[in-house]
Amino acid sequence: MKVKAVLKGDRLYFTQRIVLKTSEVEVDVEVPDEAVQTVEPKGFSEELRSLFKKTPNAKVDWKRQWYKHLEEKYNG
Amino acid sequence: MAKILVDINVLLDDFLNRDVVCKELIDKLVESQSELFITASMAATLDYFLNKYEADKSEFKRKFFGRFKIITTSGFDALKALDFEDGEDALISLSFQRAVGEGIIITNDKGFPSNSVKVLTPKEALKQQDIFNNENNKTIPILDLKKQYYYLIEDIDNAVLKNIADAKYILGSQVKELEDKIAGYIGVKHCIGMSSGTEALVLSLRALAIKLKGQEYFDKTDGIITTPFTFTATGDAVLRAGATPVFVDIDPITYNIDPAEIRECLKSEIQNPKSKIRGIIPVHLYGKPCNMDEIMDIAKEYNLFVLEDVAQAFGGTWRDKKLGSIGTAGTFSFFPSKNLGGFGDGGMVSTNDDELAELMRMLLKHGGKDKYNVDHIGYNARLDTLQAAILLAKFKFIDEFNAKRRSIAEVYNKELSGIGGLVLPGNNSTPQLSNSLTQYFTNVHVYHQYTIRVLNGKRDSLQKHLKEKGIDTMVYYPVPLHKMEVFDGRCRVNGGLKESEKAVKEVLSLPMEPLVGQETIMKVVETIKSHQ
Ligand SMILES: Cc1ncc(COP(=O)(O)O)c(C=O)c1O
Repeated sequence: MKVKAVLKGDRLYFTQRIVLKTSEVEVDVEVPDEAVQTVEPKGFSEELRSLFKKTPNAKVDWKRQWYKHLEEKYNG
Repeated sequence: MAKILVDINVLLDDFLNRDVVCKELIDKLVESQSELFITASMAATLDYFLNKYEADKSEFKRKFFGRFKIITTSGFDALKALDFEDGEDALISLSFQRAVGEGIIITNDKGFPSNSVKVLTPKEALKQQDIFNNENNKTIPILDLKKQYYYLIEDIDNAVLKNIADAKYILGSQVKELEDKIAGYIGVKHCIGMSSGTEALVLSLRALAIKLKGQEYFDKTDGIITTPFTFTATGDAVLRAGATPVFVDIDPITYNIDPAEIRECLKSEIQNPKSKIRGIIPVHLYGKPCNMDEIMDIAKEYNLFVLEDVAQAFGGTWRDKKLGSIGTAGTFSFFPSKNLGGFGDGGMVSTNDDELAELMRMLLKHGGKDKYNVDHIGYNARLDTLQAAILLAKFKFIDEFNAKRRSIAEVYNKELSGIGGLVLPGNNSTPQLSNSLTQYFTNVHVYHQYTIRVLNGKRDSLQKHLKEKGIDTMVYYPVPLHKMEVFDGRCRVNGGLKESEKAVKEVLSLPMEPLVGQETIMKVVETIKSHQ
C-alpha cells in the first residue's frame, strides 16, 4: 500500500489514518535529494562568532578594549 | 556528568580573539553532556561586546543560552566576595559553589580564587578526558531533580526571588494564576490548589460526603472502590473521609484497576445490606490512563462518583480528554518527583462541579468562606504561593518534559523487547498518529514511571545487580494496601486480589529522568541485559 506522508523535522505525519495489524512495521521512505541538507552545519563557536556583525575577521584584543572602556567610564 | 563554569575570558577569547584552544574547548564542551554555566555577574562584560560588535542579540541569546545556564549571584555571595582580594572572581566562584556544589571552573585567569572548586585553564581542561566522556556517570539516579532545576534555573530563581519580595505568601496571585492555567490545560471549570495530593484526595471526599449525604464525613458503611496497588494515600484518604475502602484487583497488563473486577465487586456488594458503594477512585498508575470509558459506564449504571487519582499522570489523556477532566473530580500531586513537581508538597483538585468546588474552597481554609466563622470541619490545606510560583515556571515545560519521558520509554520499549523473563509496560496506550498533519494522541501515557515486570523470582537480584553497577531503581509498591496494618479491619476486599499480590513481587521501576541522553538509557539497558 502506498501512502502519502509529510516529513517535519525528524517526524513523519501521514495524510491519511492507518491502523496497523502489528505493533511495528519497518518502511522505506524516499526523501527528495533537494530537501536534504548536505552542507555540514557550523560548530557552536563558529555560529556564535558569525553573529558578531562588526568584527574584523581577525583576532580582537577584547581585554585591552574592556580595560579602556572601564577607564573611560569611571575616569571620566 | 561534570558541572562546568566557563569564565567570560574563555568565551570572549573564543568568540572575539579567535583563540584555537578556547574554540576547541567550547565546541567539545557543548558536544558533551556536561552541564555548562556562567554567572549573572558576567553579563555586563558580555553585553558590552555584543553591543560593540553589533551582534544579533536575540539569536545569540537563543543559541548560547540554549546550552549555557545562568547562575544567580546573590547579595550574600557578594558580601562574602568582598573579603577576597579579587571580589569579581570570588563572586563567580562563590555563586557557582553555592548553586552546584562540586564543579569545575575553566578560566584564563591565573589567580582565580577557587573556594574549594576545581579551577583549570582551557589547556588543562582539554587534557581531562573525563570532562568530555559521557560515560562518566558514576551513578544513574531514577530521577535527577537538580538537573531539572538547572534546566529551568533562570525561571525558577526569578519566581522564587520575586515571590519572596512580593510577600504575598498565603493565597497570593500565583495560586489563582496556576489554578486558572491548569483548569484551561485540563479542560475543566475549576481547579483548586491544595497543600498536597493527599489533602486533595481527602478534601474531595469530604466535599462529596457533604454534597451527597449532607454530613461532614461518610459513614463506615459507605464503601469506596479503589485499587490496592497504589500509594498509601489513596486508601488512607478514604479512611480519613470516614468511608471504607473496598479493594478491587488490577489488570495485570496495565496495573490499573480492572473494570471487570469492579463489576464483579458491585454485583456482590449489592447483596450486602450493611454497605452501600458510593464511588470509585481509579488511579492512573505510573502515568498510564485507566480505562475511563468502562469506569464511567459503570459509575453511570450504579450512580457512583468517580474521583480520578491523577497524582502520577499530569498531562496524560484518555481519548483526547486530559486525565482529571473525565470523572466527578480529579486529584493531582505536586510532590517534587511528580511529572509536574514543586519544591516541596503541593496538590490540586480539578472538577466541573460548582458545588464541590465551593465546598473544597471552604474546607481548605478551615471550613468556611470566612475563616473566623466557619460552617464545616475544615483544614489548613492551602497551596503555598511560593510553590505555585515555582509550579507556574515548571508548567511551561510540562508537555516538553512529558514528550521526553515518552521518548525514553520508546528507547526502553525497543531495546528491552524480546528479553526473556521481562514484561514491558503494555503499549495499548502509546501515542498514535492522526489522519491530519497535526499529532493526534488517543490515550497518552506520561510515564511517571517506566515499570517492568521481572518474572521467575528474579526481580530482587536484578535490582541488586543494577545497584552494584550504580543504577538506581525502585519498587512501586512493595506492599499492597490491604496487607498494611492501617487497613486491617478497616477495609473490605473483593476476591483474592491475586494480581496485586503478584505485582508487588515482580515490578521494578527503571530510571526515568526526562533530561538524560540516550546513552544513559542504553547503559541501563546493557546492564539489564548482562544480568543472568
Ligand atoms: C497515586 C498517588 N496518590 C496520592 C499521592 C499523594 O500525593 P502527595 O504526596 O502530594 O500527598 C501520591 C504521591 O505521592 C500518589 O502517587
